[in-house]
Amino acid sequence: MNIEVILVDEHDREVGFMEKMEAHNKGLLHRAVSVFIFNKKGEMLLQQRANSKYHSGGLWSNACCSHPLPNESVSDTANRRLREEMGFDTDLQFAFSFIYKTVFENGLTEYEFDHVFAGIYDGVIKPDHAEVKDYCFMKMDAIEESLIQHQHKYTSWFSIAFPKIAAFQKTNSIGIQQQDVN
Amino acid sequence: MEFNNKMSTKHAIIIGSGIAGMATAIRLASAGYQISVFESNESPGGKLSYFEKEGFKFDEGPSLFTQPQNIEELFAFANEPIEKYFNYSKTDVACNYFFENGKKIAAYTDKKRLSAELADKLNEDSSAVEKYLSDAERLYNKIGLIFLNHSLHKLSTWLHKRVLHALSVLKTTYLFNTLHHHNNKRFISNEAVQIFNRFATYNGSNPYKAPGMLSLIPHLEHNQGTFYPKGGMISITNALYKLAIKKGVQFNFNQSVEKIIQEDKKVKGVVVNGEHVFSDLIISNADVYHTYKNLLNHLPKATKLAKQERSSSALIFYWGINKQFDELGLHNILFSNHYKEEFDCLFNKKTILNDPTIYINITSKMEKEQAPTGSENWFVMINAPTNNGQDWDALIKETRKNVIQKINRILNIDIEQLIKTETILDPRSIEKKTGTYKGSLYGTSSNSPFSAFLRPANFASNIKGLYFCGGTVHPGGGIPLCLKSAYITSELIIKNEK
Repeated sequence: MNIEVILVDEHDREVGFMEKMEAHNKGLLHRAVSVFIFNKKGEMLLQQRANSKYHSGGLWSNACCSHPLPNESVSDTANRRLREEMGFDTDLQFAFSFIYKTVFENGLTEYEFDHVFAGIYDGVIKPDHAEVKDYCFMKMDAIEESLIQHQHKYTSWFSIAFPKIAAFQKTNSIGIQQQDVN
Repeated sequence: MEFNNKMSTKHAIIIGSGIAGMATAIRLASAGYQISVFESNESPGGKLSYFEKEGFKFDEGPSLFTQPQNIEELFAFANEPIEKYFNYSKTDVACNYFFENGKKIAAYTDKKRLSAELADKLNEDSSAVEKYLSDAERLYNKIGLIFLNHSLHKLSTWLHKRVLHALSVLKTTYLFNTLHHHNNKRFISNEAVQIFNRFATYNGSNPYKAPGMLSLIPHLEHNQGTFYPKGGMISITNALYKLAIKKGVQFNFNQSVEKIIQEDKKVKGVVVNGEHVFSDLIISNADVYHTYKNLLNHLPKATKLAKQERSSSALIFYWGINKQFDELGLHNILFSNHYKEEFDCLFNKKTILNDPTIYINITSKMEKEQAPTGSENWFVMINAPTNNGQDWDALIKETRKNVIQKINRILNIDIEQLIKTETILDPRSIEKKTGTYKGSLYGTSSNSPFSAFLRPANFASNIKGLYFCGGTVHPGGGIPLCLKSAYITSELIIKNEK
């Protein structure tokens, strides 16, 4: 597997490319994308990562996450990975970005400048089972409660991003008494 | 070349983009001045700055927001709708106080509720508490406001009818008795005395030395109220920066002013990165000591300024805590059991007591997105002495241990294992980052009856065109006073420099 990620500085300015595993071994800051999907009832789509993922396997998280390829825009990455992992397309809007750093138990370090996108979808989901073990829609209150009670079942970036996306959802009334977005 | 700018736009340079520097920039730009701000850091705000670490948001410096009317006035003066830039809400409780004897007090921002709480928990006479707060209000309105809205260094201030009246009603007890003496006479319980003594730390002073006059400060919290800016304290910096840009203020970041150029006792401009930038006026928002010593090379004045006692500094632990605490609120104080010794350590022994008062600010109580779900962003502050070359690494290690033990005792928890991330700010780093002399937070201390009169003026008497604003000059440190200094300074300029 010879996928390259985009190394960036703390202002998301590109400083180079590096092979994905090497960047995670060295714990270097790189550009990433996270997608959050809501249904029209305002529930959030959760993905359980396949056990075979290179880190955080079996844990619950947002709809999908990835790293932009060299010369790929963050919104292209978001749309591409949503299609590849969850098997659907929908309009995505940029929500916010944040930096986080976590050292995983397998010694890899995730140090990402994460661009968060949000969208609404109520149609058919066809996940790639190599990437996705399970999925479900859950009410925001229930997710928050579960995150507090069972933090170990969720990815580390999810508990960081959750309160931010919850605030974003509220401010922008996503899926809250909203008509068809298209 | 003759400078004849009477008809053209006057150009002013502001050194430093702290909150006072930005507010002065906004006021002068609104009055038609052309403004350039030079800031040595990469972003605006001075002590009012911010960082985010592993999903925890931290305001680095000031954490309490009082007197939003100062910001409202600024936007009104600039003729811009504040709601497009800045939102805030009033909080019910100003602070949660915890004592080692197990007592807990919720200090409500409402006078009646606070009086009832102190009567209920501490057996205070509720009417005496209300009287104390009414007196605070009277002191504030009669005397405080004059200090806050006028230069004390202009004869016209002193000849003002209201000022003459104020001086006649000013009881000498407020000047010559200490705040502790004043509070000790007014309250029954040690806890209430301690709660009201703490207000001396608002400007980094010692309640056992500072005058009873500071008893007007509770008026801000318990009559006027405490507030929370949406998005945290950094929203104040962001709002002022945005407004300044809108008003055409030009900012230059990572540009450190090296010298102020003067000729015939008049300012001509500044030297930045070896280059000369000329202007009609200069307003320094930098520490006034630094301005005289390094920018003006005026050593006699700098030496004189250095002699005045500084206000205290701080040791701050920014902790990401992996748990939520129902008993804590936005502002929390875990009081020292040896309060007098604590101030003796701060101002005389220049160290930190082994039982320090701990302030914990948690903005995720107000907005969940300030911390990861299930966690809290703790801003843990201990009053610290100014930087006099102490062995800080050893003192920080020792204090961290004492702080953790005290939190464990009072909250009945093992806090250390809940700390997910840690960043530390100490007097050395405060001094380095914000250029404040010895890392003091509020300029000179108010530990003497005449401190308020001895603060440096908002203008240089011997150099024409040079003005000062910010926490090290009149009327003092902290957000409300810094905004007042911007008002006083810009009014002086608008009047003087026509």
